[in-house]
Amino acid sequence: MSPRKKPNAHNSTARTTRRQQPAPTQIKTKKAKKPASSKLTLTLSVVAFGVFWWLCSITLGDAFFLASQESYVSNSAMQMKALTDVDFGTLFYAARWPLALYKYPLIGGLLLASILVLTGFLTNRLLRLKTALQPLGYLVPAAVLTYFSLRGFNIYYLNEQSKIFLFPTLLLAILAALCIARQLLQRDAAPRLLPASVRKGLILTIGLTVLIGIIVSYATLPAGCATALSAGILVLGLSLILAIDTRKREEQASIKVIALGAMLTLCGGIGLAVFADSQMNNVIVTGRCVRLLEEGKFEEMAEAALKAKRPSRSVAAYYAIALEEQDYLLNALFDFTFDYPKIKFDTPERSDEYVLFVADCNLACGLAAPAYHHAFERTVIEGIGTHRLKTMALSAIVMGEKELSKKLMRVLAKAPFTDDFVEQYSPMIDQPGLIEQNESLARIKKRNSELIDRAFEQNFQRPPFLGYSMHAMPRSKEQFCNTIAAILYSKDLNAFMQIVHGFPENNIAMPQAVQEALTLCILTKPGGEALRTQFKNLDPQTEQRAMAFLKDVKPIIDRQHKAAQAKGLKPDAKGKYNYDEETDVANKKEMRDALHDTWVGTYYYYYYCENNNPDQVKKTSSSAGVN
Amino acid sequence: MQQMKQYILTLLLATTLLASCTRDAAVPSESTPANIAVSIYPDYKDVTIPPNIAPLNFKVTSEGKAFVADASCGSHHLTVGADADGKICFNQTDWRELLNHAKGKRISVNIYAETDGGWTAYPAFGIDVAEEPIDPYLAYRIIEPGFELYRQIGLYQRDLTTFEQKTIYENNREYNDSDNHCVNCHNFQAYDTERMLFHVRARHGGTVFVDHGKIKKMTMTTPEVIANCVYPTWHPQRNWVVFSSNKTGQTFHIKNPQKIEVLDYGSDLVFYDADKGTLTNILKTEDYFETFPAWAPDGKKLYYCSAAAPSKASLPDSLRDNEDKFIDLIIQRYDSLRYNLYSMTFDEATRTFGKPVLEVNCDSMSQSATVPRVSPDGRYLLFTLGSFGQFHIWHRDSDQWVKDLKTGKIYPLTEANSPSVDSYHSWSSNGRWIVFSSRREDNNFTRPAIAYFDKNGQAHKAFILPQEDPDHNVFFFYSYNVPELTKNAVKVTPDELKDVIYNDAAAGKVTYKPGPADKNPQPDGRTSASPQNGKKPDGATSASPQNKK
Repeated sequence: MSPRKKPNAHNSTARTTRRQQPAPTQIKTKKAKKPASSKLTLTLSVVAFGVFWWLCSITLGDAFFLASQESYVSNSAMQMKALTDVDFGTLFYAARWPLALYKYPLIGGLLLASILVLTGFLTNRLLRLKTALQPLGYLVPAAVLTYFSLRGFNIYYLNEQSKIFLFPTLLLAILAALCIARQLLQRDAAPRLLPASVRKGLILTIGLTVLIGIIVSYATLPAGCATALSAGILVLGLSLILAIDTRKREEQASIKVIALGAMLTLCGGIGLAVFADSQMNNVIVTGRCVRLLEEGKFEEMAEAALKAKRPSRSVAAYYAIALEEQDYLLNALFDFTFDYPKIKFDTPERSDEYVLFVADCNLACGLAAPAYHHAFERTVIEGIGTHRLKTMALSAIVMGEKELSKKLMRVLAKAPFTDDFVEQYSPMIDQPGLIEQNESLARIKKRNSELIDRAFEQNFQRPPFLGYSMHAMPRSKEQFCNTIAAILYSKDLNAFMQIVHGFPENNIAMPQAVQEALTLCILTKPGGEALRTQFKNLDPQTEQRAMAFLKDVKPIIDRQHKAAQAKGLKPDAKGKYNYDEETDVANKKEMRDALHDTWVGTYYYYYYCENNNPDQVKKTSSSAGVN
Repeated sequence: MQQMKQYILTLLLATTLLASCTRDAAVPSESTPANIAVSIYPDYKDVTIPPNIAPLNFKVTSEGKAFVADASCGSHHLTVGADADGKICFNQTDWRELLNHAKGKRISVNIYAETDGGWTAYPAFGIDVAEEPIDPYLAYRIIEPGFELYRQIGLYQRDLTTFEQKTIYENNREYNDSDNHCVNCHNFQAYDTERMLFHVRARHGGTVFVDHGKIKKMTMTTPEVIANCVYPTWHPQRNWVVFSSNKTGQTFHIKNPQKIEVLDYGSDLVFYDADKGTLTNILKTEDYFETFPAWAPDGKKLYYCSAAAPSKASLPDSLRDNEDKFIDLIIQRYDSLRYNLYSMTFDEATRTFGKPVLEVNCDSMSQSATVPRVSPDGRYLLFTLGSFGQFHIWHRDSDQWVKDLKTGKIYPLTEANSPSVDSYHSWSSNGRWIVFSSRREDNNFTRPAIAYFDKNGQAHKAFILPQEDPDHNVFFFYSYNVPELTKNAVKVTPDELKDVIYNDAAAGKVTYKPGPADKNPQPDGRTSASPQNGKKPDGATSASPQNKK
């Protein structure tokens, strides 16, 4: 029996009945108005698009922005030879073009989300999932983003960044091919989703767009890249046509099913966003910091870094740069949480996170030549990268290397979306006076001019960005503060005690962290007591706080020592026990947990509880190979 | 969004701008003479070129929306046009024809630029065409001018008569810790590729020797030699190679624009008999650093550089054997380490070397010499001179100098030199051309510069190796190292070389054969040749280097 006929048969009665009791007749009537499954498909697609756009541009946008800036693309076959020489290099070359769109994460995200939504759409079409199961189709693109989220820094470091677009496009190509194959093998007589006129118009538009895309590719790019990019455009066009050409399903869906499907997709998206943010937090924050650094928004940069969940060295470095740019390094350096997670790199032999930021750090404190050096070394290993080129160009401008600056600007100008940078800084090459009008670059240039001529990188202690020369006394207030910051970061209180008198001598106000370090020296270091007479005006409350902190620390250390003695360990000459790694980690955690809430943000806490990696300070090698 | 529009527009515009290089053109019938010189890149104005060189394509950088270049010699004209990009690209056949007409004469180049006010005719500049050709092949290494690290490195050979570049050998293209290797120091015997060698460093390390198609990889270390074999010189006739053996390190400037100092912490000279696979110390000295050996073309003399090692006297007794402290000492004194030029006679029958003879006392000029190379006629000793050290490729004041071995006169090749680095060099087999590595374009990326060396011992203005696209060097992010001219092309293929290089198990190992240096580590001649006691060479005083701008 048709559900539509019954209301017609009892027309007036039915109206009355519906008002009075929502009984079987009413349910049947609602069934009669059930939307077609196409509405679910459409609703799901819109929701999925929104979700994926959010994921690709807001959640992961800054991580993908960073990847795009670590990449470089131009239409010069010669420049891209290093890439095209490797396996699948031509495909990577082609995929770098859409990646370049991530200079603007909303636009890059729009394209990537489109590819991912089409992937989900075609998965559903291929599997012909029941209406209620259609959200499952979007698990495939969600899996792609999950994979990217698990990559961490490997999404760009020593890995081809364009995989962000290449993998989804290849997946889409496979799905499109399977859909076409299925369509050829199993003819579907069902009517199409869209009216013929609309469909034809859309298909024609897509076809023309694809054609123009292919013509432009071949006209402007080297043949191999043009072929690969055309294939990508073709895949996208074909997938769109397949989506438009979708046929109606006879199945009906209730509003509830539609709402549930949309809700599931939304929840899945939120879950994925939370997961991606947890896995990629450091990459995302680093990317955000790099973006804000390029935009010169240093306050926002520091805020972004402070919001990182468990910041890695990269985030710490960009936080320090942000403070350095605001001349606030010593005041806020230890507001940060220095509890670095272990970063997993694909290449264990190159697992030093320092290389990811050291060039930017060098430049920030005026070490222009080392900034160029380290940016170039990464270029050698990873190929030309847009952000590295910018760092090198700024270093060259600061060093007054006109020809080199011009060359770098011309190479940069060949890449898409670099004109803002080129237009801003190119005039400074021939008119160095313009540097003074740029607050950040003027500061860097001034710092650079304060460096001594006969100094080598080997004379600087890591972290080199703090500008701590082991062989030369600071030559300015800024150098002095950076030296103090480097020493405090390195927990080298003996060195600190030797130069801390520079504060009163040069009439420099002592930030809170310095006062805290000073009281720590007074109370714990041999010879520290002598400092008390030098710093008579030291705030007595600071010393009281230090004593309170040490009082809190003592029982923890005592307990740990007792446990060590119980295990038969003996202290060394300095009274320290050599714990096994497991105990060491447990002890540090115990101390952090016990003291965190009360003491986090103080230098005391940093000194005892944070940054306990023995590799935190490294001397630069002087025995590297010569090319 | 403005940038997005530009992005799309650029893509569309590029379609129409394709094939902008090379277009038919005619000299404008009417033009206004300009009173300023035209600006072109690369700088080919008033250079002297070989009659067999590839077209000197260039780019007009003066203002204009279209350009015409008319290169003429007598009644022979070659006229080429360019769009707003200013790229003047000559047809290779037409260019060759022009050079045939111009051999031993001067080509006059007139440039016309079209602006809103009509056509402007710039004053003509000249290009001299020498009678003598250059050897047709130039071998070089292409490498990013990095500091410590390397990735994709290759040895290539350019046909100088065309733009064709062929690969001699390329290392692994993809990063792979078990295969990563560097190649360097390629060298040929007497401009002939039948015998060549180069080093492989890091993975698959060794020295690759090619001898008439046979390829062999050798491990060139023995306990008797201080370090690996480095700078080679192949005996002009025999299958013998003299190497320097260098302990090398580097340090990076914080502020100095020269960026890097490469320093030797020890170096000696060794003799390698490639037929027998034996290695022998020639000079084994602790107090002197000997390096950059070079045979005279008759094989009867060996030239080299030597510097007095910094005295360890300033170190406490307990630290004098501490190598790290010695390295620190050298780094501290990096700019006072100076190399002089020496020679030693060689007796082929006994394979023995004579006493070192001071050829150029650079230290007395507060200068330091590297890379001695003798002209094929044996008359001129070409070398690089800088104010200190031995890695002049990063020293901006380094220049090309010669010593006339007949008159003893020492002088700079002023016309060929530039304000930037002019370092590693080689002669053509006819002695009329020199090729050297120059950073004259941007102080950072080396390009092969070619200069005519005339019969009077004077070099003419050098020109940068021509490229098909005049913008090539602007966008090329690599350096050209160790330019070596050869009379013929390398015959072994990259795959043949790869097979040998990757086959570590089949690598040979040199054996050490004791020589006189082992009996007498400080040769008698050492004292007389030391800078403190050596006489100033003729002309040394008047030959002080010109200040770099």
